[in-house]
Amino acid sequence: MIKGLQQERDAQAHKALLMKKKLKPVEGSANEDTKEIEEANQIHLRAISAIQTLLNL
Amino acid sequence: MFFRNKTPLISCSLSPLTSDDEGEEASSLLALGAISVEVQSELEDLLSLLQQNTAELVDNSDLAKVIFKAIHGGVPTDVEEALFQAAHLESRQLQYQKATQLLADRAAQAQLKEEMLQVKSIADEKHKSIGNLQVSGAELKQKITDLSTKREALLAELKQVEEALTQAKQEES
Repeated sequence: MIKGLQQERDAQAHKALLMKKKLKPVEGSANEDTKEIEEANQIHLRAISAIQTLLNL
Repeated sequence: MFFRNKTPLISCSLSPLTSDDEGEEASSLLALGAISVEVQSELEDLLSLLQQNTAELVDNSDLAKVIFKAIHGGVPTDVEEALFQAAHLESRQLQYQKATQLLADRAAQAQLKEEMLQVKSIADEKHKSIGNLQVSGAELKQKITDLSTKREALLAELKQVEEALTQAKQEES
């Protein structure tokens, strides 16, 4: 029973190690990236809003 | 193309205006938000185009630029500024796509880390179970040893009692 558990433990530990090796830091900051996307969204929404206001929609 | 100098103007309420001097009146009306019928049509087209999501617009805003050129000068300055930025969203394409990719990468890494921690937790649990089994196995072995020793002692004592009993019976007879 213990042998079986040891094999399972080793397999899971090996799997975790492989996954850990794939973990890499991502450059930059999430806040900056979110800000970049948010700014584009705001430009988009402002344009829609400006047209709707002008056309009284 | 400056439609306001060639075509009837409409006010914000979209009611047609009639004027003998459209050019002069157009300038003053534009300041009040009046737009030509053609510009209104272009704006409706642009509004329809803007219904796509931002990513698509950033990816390709050529048509928005074409429409913007058609209405350039035909709408109030603040509106034109807002539309100019939208029509030129493509200029932010590299930064936008990079930011989107980096956010996706971070999400994927966070997901991977979570999965890794789950797998590690399973390995830790199994390691703990093995430890418990090994401890209880050692305890059982010790218990068997103790009981065997006790058994030997008791068997030796029993043997002595039997010998004493046999001797007593012999003496009796």
